[in-house]
Amino acid sequence: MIFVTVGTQLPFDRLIKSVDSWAERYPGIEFIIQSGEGGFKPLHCKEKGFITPVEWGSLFSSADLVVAHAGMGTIIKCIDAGKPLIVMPRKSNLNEHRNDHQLATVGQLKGIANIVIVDNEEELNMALDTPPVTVSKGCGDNNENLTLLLNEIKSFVSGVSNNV
Amino acid sequence: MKFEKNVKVLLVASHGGHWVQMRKIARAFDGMNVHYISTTKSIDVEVSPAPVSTVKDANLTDKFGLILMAFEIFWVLLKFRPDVVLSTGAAPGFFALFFGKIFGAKTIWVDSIANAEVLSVSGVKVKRYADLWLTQWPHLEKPNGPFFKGSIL
Repeated sequence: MIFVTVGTQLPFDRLIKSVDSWAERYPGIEFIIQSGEGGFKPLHCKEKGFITPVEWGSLFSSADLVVAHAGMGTIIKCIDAGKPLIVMPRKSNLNEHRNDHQLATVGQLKGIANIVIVDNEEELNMALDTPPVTVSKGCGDNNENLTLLLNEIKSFVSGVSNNV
Repeated sequence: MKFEKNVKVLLVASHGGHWVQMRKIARAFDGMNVHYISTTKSIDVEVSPAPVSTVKDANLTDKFGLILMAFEIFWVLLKFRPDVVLSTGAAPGFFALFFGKIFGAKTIWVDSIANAEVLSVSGVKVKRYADLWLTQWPHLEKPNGPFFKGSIL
């Protein structure tokens, strides 16, 4: 199953239309789309508007491949699980978001083996034709940067608990 | 000194990426008395048995929603009286730190890793109310803050 997720804030028709037209050519492949509110209705994929976080989690777990907007929630979960992910950032000039921070986000993701970044339908088609691979668990919860951050916060808080 | 389990910690994040990042950071508060604020009901199963208060989700385009959210957050702080308030964003975190300072809590802002080019709007506005004011990108660090002290990835 391929799980397509675009968050809950804004529709992302460009991504959903592109996926839907690819899905039309491969009727044997199951697609489930979490599409948020409003927007384009896919014809060849199963669509769910808003789903609970628990439902999201179970669809995510059973997915062989995830296709998403460049939301950090989905990206972090894919990195943690080593799950293959195709990311298409939203663009503000196409009214897909308030600003272009998703372009900046993906600019920092290059070189992660299970993530492919696509800019448009053509690149998305190529990525779906040859999707990224699953990797054994990514950096997850044991990386230097996270340890550094947790230690900084712990020492800040221990200063607090000594004074209250 | 207070025992750890008596330190009251309020962790605040709106639904989605902010929440996922905040959950990773929550490990720093293991063993303490933690209360969460988010914007989606049904997320509580993830952190159960820790309590979760749900507040209205809103951003700058919805002034009325923001006022309602601010009131809801004020109410949670009034009842819980945290020693520490931490947020990864967005608007609910701003209000939680703002009221947190009024109530005398120590406040921590960790700007979302999604903001790789400029700090978030809430992240900029919260500066005055954050005792520890962090970005997750080294190139966004400045001499007077925000500071870079690691990141979730």
